[in-house]
Amino acid sequence: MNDYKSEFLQEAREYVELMNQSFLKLESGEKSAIDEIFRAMHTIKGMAGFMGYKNLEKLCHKLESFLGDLRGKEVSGEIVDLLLLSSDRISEILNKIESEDSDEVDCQEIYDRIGSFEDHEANENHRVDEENKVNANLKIEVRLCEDCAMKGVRGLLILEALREVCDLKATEPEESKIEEGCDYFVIFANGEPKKVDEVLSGVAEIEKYTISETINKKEKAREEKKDEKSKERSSPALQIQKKNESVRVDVKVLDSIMNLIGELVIIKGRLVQISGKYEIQELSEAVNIMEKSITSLQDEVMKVRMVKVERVFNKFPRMVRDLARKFGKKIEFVMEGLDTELDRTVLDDMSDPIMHLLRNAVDHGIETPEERKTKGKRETGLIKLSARREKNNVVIEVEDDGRGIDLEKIRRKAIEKGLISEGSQISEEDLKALIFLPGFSTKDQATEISGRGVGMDVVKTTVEKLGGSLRVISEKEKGTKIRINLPPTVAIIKSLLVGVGKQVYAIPISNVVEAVYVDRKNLKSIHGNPFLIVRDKLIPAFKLSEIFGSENGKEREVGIIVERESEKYALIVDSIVDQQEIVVKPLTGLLSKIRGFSGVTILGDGTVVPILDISSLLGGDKFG
Amino acid sequence: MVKVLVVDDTAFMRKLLKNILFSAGFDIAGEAENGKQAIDLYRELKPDIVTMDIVMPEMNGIDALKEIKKLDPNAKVVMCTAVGQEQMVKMAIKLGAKGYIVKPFQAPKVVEELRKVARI
Repeated sequence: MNDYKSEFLQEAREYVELMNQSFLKLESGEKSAIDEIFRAMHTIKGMAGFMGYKNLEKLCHKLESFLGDLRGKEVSGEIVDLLLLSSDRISEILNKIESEDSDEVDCQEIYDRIGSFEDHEANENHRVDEENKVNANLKIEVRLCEDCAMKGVRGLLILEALREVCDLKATEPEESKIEEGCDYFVIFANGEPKKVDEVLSGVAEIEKYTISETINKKEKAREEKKDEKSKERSSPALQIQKKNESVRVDVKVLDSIMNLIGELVIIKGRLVQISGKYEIQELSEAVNIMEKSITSLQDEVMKVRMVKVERVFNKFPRMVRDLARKFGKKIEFVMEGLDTELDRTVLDDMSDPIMHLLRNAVDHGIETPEERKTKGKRETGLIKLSARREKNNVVIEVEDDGRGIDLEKIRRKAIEKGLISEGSQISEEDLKALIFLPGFSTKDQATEISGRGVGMDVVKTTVEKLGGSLRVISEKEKGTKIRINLPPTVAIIKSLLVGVGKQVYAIPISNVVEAVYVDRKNLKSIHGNPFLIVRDKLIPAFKLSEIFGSENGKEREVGIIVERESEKYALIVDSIVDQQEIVVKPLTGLLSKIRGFSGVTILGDGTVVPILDISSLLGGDKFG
Repeated sequence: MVKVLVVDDTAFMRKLLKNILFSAGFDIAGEAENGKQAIDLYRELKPDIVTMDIVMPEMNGIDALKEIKKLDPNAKVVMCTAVGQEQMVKMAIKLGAKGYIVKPFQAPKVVEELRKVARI
């Protein structure tokens, strides 16, 4: 049974994820979502039963029948809350199954709440009503146009018009609700379908109506059973078909394949050197062919590593919804470009920063409905998360139509913290840059949400670590847009190889702005600190030979201008060796904490080359 | 052609409705500026559809609707209404009005409503 456990957990979790998405669809009025949830719940129940997790099976069963009753009805926010709570509880059970192989989690609260809903329901829909529905021979479903004016009046008009041709038995929701206005309602009546059709075709602003003749209850029950049986019979075949199309692979396996390809690239380099050295024609031909294969292999694996941003983005609607409810804000959350692809390590690393940006947007950006109303804005705020490909980069944007960044507030806070002096002239760009400083928050009191440790500084550091960049575009009272530019992958990067003493170092191209020759004229020392003068600007300079303590015998040096947090720095090196794509091998174990290096790469001739990590290299004052 | 009787106390609204309906191919049989005139004209012109404003001097649209329904139980009356008059329209519908259009008028909506009611 244990063989199946990991598969069971993985699949069950996927279904839980699917449900979470469907809940939100349901809340926004997509009635079909209930069928998706129903199916997911049914599948989990089936799997749990097979695995012998009785408690989970029971929970799913209760929820399944509760969902069955919900079909075709209005779903309130409370019901969605209950469903979300249930899916959380299912996740909890799955976690417990994974760690302790036990599904003993207390679900009484959910049962109680389902119970109270059902009681409520029972009181509302009198038994007479139910019987009426059974006696009616017609079920008329009506959906009004979205832009229908005075939906209540339209509903009444339809009811009145129908009354002329048939005998209304019951409605869902009740008539008074229809007269208050609802988009969708069902009428049970006795009459001729043809006449009903005639009446409804003469009413404007109906998007869609269906008239179905109902069968009596016993027959109905029999049909349903038949349906279920045929479904069960057909599902295994369907699953097998799906399994043939894709195979699940552990991320670790992918990473090690990538590593092995890295090794292959290195060995290939050596073979090229050897064939060149000994001028063996046959060998160099073989190596050429091998090179092609390795390149396409590398491309293929890179493709496999790419995943759709959907994978991470899908959890955000739920989060935004929960936050919005908590803060009493009305928010419409829109996601775009879900099929944009990004390297899975990049995407995983970006998950927390995006979450933080969304939290910021909900907490700081979007105003309360009342505030928005007084400002003349739509009560419901808009938050948009989008991803798209732009040239060689992937752009992720988090945008809101809230109050925007209050530059005046930032200025005051900065003065308070002693970052700038009162009355000093500071540009808007520079003010905005201040929010990325660690510990800088304009919110007077850290809320539970914004005070979780992941600040804007962490967002920026993560983005820069991944070789990307970040921009804030904000207009007061109009909203804020944060644009993140990311390279699609980090496993293989373009880099500049530079020589310092006898050692070669790699600098990621994404950090490099330009390179200039250095001589006595443009390298100055001010108060003992070296500065490089580039086009009349002073740029703080760092001699890598001094930092790494290697010999410096060169007359003519090269200054590599790099950018860190919008500031320019110059790294003084002996020479530029080459520019090439390198395979990044992260530092592990004891080496992982070394500052100044993000990893190493191995060149074709087997040389190990450290990759400089600009932000930590220049961040502190102690090296080595 | 479908003959329409336009009832509204403001000349501007009548003109607006006439323009919308005329360009959609309806025939404007006549126009009235209060409920009393509307009843007289209904008797005289026998229009296929009446567009009936609710708030008017002399006799309001609801009373005119009642009278017209007495004259002709199959009369097709479409109420002209504005936001906030839901209760009035609901009453009119219970009294036999066949439809309603909402001010400010949106031409496509008005045309759709009248076409549906006229069944063309």
